[in-house]
Amino acid sequence: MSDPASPAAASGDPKATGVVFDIGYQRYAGPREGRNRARRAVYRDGIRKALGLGRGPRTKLLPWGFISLLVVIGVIMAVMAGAGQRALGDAGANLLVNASHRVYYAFTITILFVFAALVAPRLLCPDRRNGTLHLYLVRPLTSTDYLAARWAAFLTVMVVVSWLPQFVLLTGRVLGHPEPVSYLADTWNDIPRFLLSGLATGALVTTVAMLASGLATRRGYASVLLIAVYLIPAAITRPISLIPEYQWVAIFDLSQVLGEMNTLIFDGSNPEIQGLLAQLAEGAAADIEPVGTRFTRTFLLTAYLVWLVAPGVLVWRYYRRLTL
Amino acid sequence: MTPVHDSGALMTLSRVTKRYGSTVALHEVDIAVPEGIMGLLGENGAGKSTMIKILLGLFPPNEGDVRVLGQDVIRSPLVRSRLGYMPEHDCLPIEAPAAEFLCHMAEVSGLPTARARMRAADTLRHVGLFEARHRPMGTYSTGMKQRVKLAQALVHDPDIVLLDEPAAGLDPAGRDEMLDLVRRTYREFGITVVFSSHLMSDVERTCDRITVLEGGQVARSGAVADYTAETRTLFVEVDGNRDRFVSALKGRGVAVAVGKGGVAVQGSDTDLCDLVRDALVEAEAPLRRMAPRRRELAEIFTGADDDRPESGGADQ
Repeated sequence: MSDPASPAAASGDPKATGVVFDIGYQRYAGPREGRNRARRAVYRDGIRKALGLGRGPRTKLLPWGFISLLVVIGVIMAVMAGAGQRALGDAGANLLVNASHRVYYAFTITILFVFAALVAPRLLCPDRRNGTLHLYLVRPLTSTDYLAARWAAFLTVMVVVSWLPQFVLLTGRVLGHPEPVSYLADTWNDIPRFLLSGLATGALVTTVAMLASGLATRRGYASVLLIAVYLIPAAITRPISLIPEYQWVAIFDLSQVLGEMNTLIFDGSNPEIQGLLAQLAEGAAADIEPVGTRFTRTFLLTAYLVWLVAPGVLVWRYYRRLTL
Repeated sequence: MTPVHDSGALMTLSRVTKRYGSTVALHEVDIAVPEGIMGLLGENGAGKSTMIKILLGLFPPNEGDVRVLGQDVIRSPLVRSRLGYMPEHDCLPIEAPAAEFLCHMAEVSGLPTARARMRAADTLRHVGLFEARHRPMGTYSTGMKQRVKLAQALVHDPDIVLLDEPAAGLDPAGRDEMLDLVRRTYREFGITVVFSSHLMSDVERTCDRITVLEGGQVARSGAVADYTAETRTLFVEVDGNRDRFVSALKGRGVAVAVGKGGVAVQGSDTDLCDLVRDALVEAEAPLRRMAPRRRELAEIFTGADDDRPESGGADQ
């Protein structure tokens, strides 16, 4: 309402006075974009939840702490690679420093998994615990849509978290080299390899993390369950898989499956690398353990796909049965 | 424009049966939900929740046909963008501010982001939470949380909203405010309401129509006004000489029941008001209030004879 005592009203200028009208409830006549909009909204919300965006510092601490740690590792490896290249040359640096993209993944896979164990439950557990899941399922969104959007959200986070330090490492290696352009030209094929390896690692870890998060209502339980899935089979199968006849039990160990996939993607049996090893070791190459994977490509890919698909199907079936 | 079924109903259940194993939750239920506020009454296990889940399309019935806004809600989940649902239980993420949560829920219902943001702010204003919209919902009182639950059901401007015990857990003042909001939802906002409750007083105060479920079947259905029509009983309050007033009434052959708040007087002829007037004059009792007594829903469902004065009947 206009205030008659206000200076504007007192001036007598009707244009200067403001009037607030209560226009009451307005029906919505704009566009309704259906399931695609719903899926995008759940996807975006999943990313925000994973990274703590729009929340206080305490919520951000965990994801950004891990991301910082991984980037710092990438920076340290980049510095080591650069210093090694300058001091020892390409061959010496590759043999002694070995700060490669493949080694980065081998070194940080456990950290990535712990990150997933602590952060992925944020995407599913609170929705079930608070009952918010019911509000999603009474909207134009199926349980499959909801799960797929959450899975895609966490996969995005995992992939970015995997790739970011690799780009830092790549930058460090290129800039640390005396001839950056020729180095990049020689090693450009490392880029699709670390992208693919990050994607493969992220997809599998995300699916397993979604299963644990979908079954538990408390984030803590889901985290413990995930870490148990990572550690317990490893503790059991690693000694057994040392016996040549029982190497296949390594497929029950998530870390070994991911490690072998990493090796397969980076093609450790690359003749150039083998040749380099042989040249550097001057005849002692036979004593150096081959870098290639222990399994056939088909066997390893099958194991990977089973790890990828089975948890996804389980959590999908579980959510299909959920009702109010 | 709200699409309606051929019969004019927004939602229909035709001979719907739902079983959980050997337990029959709903048995050949026929219900049509027209525009307005419909109360769904029943004890725990009567089938109210099952009916709401079927209307929301969360699972199909074993037999029968369900139509929501003229569509098969199971095969067309998109029709749920025209439905709102307020559950009885907790459903709010406590760490999120109400404005952000409502905006997200509006987007999940299909609204573009900018429109969703505007609708969230508008809806929170209508439920009286505009000032508190940026606070985390964990800091809200029970009444405020109930309002947010209603707001998330309204934020995408549905044609029909299903409310499951919206006043549960509220104190009397909060209950009044919530029931007032429910009434406004239809009368001001134009959104049809299906209101599930086990409290007849809430339904009586709020709804235009009622459907009573008993053991998975429809026991009664109709307009609330039909059940709560005026009776032939007068309710009279006096400021003094009440005993003399009662004696004077009895002396005129009128059936009287004395209650805590006043006197219920039943007469069979049209001169009842004259008889009461004469008795008041004879007893020199000052009249405070006199009004026709209405039936209460509770009496109908407990089988009480509404036209007979009774000691509790005068308690309005």
